[in-house]
Amino acid sequence: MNEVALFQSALRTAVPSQPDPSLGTRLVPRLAEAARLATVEAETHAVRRRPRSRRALVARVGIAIALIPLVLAGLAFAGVTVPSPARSAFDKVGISLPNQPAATSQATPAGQGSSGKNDGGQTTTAKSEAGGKGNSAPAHQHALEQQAKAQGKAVGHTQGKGIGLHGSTPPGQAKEPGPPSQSNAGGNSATHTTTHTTPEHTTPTTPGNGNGNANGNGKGKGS
Amino acid sequence: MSPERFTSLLEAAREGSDAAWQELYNDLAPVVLGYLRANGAPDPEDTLSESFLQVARDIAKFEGDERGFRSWVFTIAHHRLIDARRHSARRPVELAAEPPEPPGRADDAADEALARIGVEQVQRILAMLSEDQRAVLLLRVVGDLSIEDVAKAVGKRPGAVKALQRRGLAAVRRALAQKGVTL
Repeated sequence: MNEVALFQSALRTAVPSQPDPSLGTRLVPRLAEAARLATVEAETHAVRRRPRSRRALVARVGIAIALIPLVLAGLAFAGVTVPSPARSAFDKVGISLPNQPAATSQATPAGQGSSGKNDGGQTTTAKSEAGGKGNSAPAHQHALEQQAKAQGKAVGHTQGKGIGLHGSTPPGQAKEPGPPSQSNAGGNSATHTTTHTTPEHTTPTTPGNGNGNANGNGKGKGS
Repeated sequence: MSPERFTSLLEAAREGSDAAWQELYNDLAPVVLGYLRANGAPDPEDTLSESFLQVARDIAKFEGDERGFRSWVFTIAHHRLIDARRHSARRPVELAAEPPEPPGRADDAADEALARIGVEQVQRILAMLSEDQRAVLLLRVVGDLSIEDVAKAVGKRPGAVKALQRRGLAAVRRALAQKGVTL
């Protein structure tokens, strides 16, 4: 062990060697300059990083917040019913979202049945009680289109033109019973009387009563 | 050097003070150069310059005391030594042909030990050791690093460093016994 200690002591003395003095003269200014540049760069980097990250965070949050009304408006354009708080928020700033149910229709659930559901005369009654409001005009338009189609198909037939929707005024607005949801079934009157199973339709309606069922068994012109 | 003195010296070096770098260089360059030379660096002074430039470039990131700084400098020097070896052609380790000048600060016991063993004998014994054993012994004895610091510098576990040191010292003891060096 003493030999090892002796060797270590000799090693400590023998190994260190003085470098060339000119090396130190040349190297020390370079070391100082390199350290100065590195410190300045590190400080600049640290100062620059912090605001950039904070600014980016604020920008991300702002973009996310700005996207919310755009997304809601996009959904409304696509036909999705957006929640009423969102709708009211748009209303407050004077923007009315399209394809949204009217505020009054929520109060009368019967009025919601005017969207073409086949609920027979009850819906018709409810609509007529509601003064022909709601979707009667689009339904009427749709019925007219269907009638035109049916007339095109029924070329040469003697029946099927008496759909009762020849007038251009929607029945709901004309103080008449509005067209029921099945009023678009123009054409062959015989098939309609057999296919509908609601109690109102099982009893044949008198010709030309014009009650808005318009199932084709009314004013048959017969020519 | 007191911790406060070292802290102010380090701060001055970070700010680019020539005097601070001169002091750090004078303190560490001889031992680092000796370490590089004893480990067979292809161009020890060039590797020393590269090591100190790396220290200067990274000193803004350094945190620690004087001992940590010393360990950090030796770690960088060891890595630059490995790079220099890779860049140079593969050749057997040749220790410094010119005998290093003994520094003036050696005490009497060290001088006496060196007189008994001799510089050439020290170099010959170092050349007998494996590369890892020599690096560990030099970092422990010349660099005055702890086992953990040596492990960090050479990229090994402390247990492996202890084993390398033990085997290296055993080889030194055998070599000295063969040469008849006794107290």
